[in-house]
Amino acid sequence: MTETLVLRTNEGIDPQLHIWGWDVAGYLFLGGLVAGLLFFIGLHMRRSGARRALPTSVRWGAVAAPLLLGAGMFLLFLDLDLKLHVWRFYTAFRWTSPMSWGSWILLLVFPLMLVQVLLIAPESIRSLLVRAAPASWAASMAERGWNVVASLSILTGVALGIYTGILLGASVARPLWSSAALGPLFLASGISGAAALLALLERDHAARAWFTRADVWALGAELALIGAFFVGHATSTRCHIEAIQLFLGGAYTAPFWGLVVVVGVAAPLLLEWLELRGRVVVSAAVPVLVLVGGLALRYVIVAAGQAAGVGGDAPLNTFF
Amino acid sequence: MDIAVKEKPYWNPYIAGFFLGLVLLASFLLLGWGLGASGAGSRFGAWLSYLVVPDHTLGLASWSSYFEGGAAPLKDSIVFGAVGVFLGGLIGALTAGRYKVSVGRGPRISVPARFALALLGGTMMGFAARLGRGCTSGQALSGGAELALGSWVFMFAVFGGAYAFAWFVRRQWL
Amino acid sequence: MSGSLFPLYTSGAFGDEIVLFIQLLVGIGFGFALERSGFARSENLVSIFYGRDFRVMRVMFTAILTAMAGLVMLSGAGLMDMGLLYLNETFLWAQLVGGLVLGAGFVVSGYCPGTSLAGAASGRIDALFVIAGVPLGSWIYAELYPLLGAFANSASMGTASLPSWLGAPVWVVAVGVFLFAGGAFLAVGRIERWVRRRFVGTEVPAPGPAPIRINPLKSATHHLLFAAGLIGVVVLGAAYSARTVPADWGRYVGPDEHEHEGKVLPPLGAIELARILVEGSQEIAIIDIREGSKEASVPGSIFVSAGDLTERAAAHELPHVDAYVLVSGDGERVRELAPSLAAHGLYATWLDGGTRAWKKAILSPPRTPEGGVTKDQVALYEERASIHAYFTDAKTAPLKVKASPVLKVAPKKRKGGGCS
Repeated sequence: MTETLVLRTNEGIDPQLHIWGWDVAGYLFLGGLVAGLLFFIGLHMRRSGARRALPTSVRWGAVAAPLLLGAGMFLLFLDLDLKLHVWRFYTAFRWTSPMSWGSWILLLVFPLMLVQVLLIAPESIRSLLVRAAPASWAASMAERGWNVVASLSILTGVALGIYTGILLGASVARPLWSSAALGPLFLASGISGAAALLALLERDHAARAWFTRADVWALGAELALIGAFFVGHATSTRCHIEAIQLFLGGAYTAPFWGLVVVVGVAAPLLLEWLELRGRVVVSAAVPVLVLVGGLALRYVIVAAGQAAGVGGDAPLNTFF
Repeated sequence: MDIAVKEKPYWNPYIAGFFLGLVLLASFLLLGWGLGASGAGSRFGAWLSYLVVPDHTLGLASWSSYFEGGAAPLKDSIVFGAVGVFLGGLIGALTAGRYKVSVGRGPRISVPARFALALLGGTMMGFAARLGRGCTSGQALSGGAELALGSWVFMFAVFGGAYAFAWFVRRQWL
Repeated sequence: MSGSLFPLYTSGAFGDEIVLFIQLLVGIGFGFALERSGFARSENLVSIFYGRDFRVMRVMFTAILTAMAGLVMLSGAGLMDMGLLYLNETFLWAQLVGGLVLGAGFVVSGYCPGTSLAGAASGRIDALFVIAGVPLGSWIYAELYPLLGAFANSASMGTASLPSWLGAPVWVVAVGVFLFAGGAFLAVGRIERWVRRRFVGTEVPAPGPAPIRINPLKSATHHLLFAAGLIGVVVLGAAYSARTVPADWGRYVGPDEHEHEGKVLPPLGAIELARILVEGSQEIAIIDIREGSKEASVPGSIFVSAGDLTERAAAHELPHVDAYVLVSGDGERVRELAPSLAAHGLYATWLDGGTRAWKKAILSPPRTPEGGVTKDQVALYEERASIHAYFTDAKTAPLKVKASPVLKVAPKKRKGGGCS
């Protein structure tokens, strides 16, 4: 006996053009997180000027960054239909394509991150690596260029963070994504995620408070940029105004305002602010909220952007 | 920063109950239904099951309605409510200085045994909540306030079942 | 009582997405209340079952009194439409057994499903295991449903409420609940004192924080609120009962007598059915009862044999739609089946002439009108031609249909709410 539902009830079963799903959202999230890590690593390298003065979390962050970005690129690789053609990104550079730019940024980011591992990774890991001769040579070279590495790290971090937002904006067919605010928004979200992750790893109270304060600023900036994102769309062309309706009563309203804004930004902002005022001792759960909110932001924007392209109020897939 | 926030006392239970009642009433007035929790667990189970065995999941009569019309099982008010309960609990615990990673148990039970019983009890409740169409939140509390007949039966049955079983697990708590 | 302000959503004040957001905010309030009550810690929850601390009952009954009084008073004042409130349905035996098992699970796990979320949020690792158990148990239920469904749906009493069951006015029942809860508050204080004197101190200390010393008889605020609620439900509840005859606060139906809300609708002709399908104006399910050939079936049909039909309707296993259109080969057999679906509270109709009529009117091309035809005949021809093209996938003229007939069904009550 075969069963099918009839009429209006099977609208959502029809395939949607969900070209990008969790994998791309996960890549954008991890990319943003690594961007934020690079930003803070650079900042702290400049602040402290010496290895020993660096907070432990930053030193572990330097180890985590290449692993996280590697995981993110693996997700992107999973999304490619023709996996064997991945090298073509490097043989066919196009000035106008953010995809092309991104693959080169990534290629430049990895050596920087490896140098940082050699420079500032916790001693247990560093001593293992530096033992090898070429690595020790590279490390001593890098030691001399400490400030260059630090500045490069900040710049690369900002570029990578903005790139994760622009990558989406490149597609003209998706009005929701063509916004100047998206790059800075993803950067702010990446920085807030990295601050949360470092606060999670940090044991020293003073350093933790520093990251919590940084997170409060980044989350505040994120809220402002979400505002800018809305204003930008609302004052733009008709098809932008229609696209933003997805968050103003349309199919992604609740996930956006509920999971991204309340769970991922507003609630942690409130709790961390209370912590800085000495009213609350923040637990591991709050940075986790920030990270979950960051992933939700990427997913909701990626999914909603594609729904806007296919024609407004498209039904959601089974993930949300 | 180093100063630990002092743990605040719990609210007087009658005041807490009055506040909880106002939240429940707000739910009735705004949404037209009460509070709930177990449905979110069931929907989460259905979602997971769909990831693993989609066709089989759609064939399960008590879960198929979550997917009806191409709906996403997690995009439901009860799931958002459950996320809210978690967030509200977190805000409550942090502002009261009560957040502590720990295991709640009596002095005479080991941690693994406590975990096993927690899982077992959770499973029993997940099953029972489907059979009884709700848990202590959706049936006993919300249905109780609506004066629904079945909800009052359910509420007394919950107390009955718990008192009857309490003796068997006394070593876990006392 | 239309024109009442509340409930805002079911009376259409805002859309489905806003509802999810409001539910999140309500959930935050719920979780906060649970935490402040001490319900994020399993020790506080289960100590009621060892007679040491009746916090759970105090909070729960006070919440029930508050919300119940609010509902009675607001509906009495004409601000709340009880007919739009999602009322939990009664399935007597399932709720009795479900309650017993859930209670046992409560004392075994130390949490109930809602409090386990607040427990996990306050750092309790054991609560995470409870949270993991709930989907697991739901899955076991879903797998066993074919065996349990009949029991789970037995003694279905619709939206029976205490007032409708007792045949008493709402305000009388509400006063009864107030007195019952008040008596319980006094009684548990005595039990706690007795248990502590008798067991605690000699054996092991009571779990959780310091025992509560709250005597409801000694707090003026508690008295005042209790009395205000009591007077409120008497006055406004009486006003409600006086105005509403019969009160729409639930409807009592005896066990296994289903609410006969459904009915048999007039049969649909093939063209009419086609118009409904093309327009998609109403949610209908087409049930084809033929067991042999599936020839010329209406697109989207569900095939259910005549023997299984009532059984599956009883078990709520048919898709949830506004109306059911029964289809057979000649439209004769289904004429007798429609009332049995209606007996299960469904709206049922059938395709007049069965698939034979469908084949003739829809699947074969209409005859071209010849010489001296009226405008109406041409319009009819054009419509039939486009319907024919639509259902046979011949890419011809754009679709033109007349307004489809409207199946008169009662608005579906939003299912869900609480825990379903």
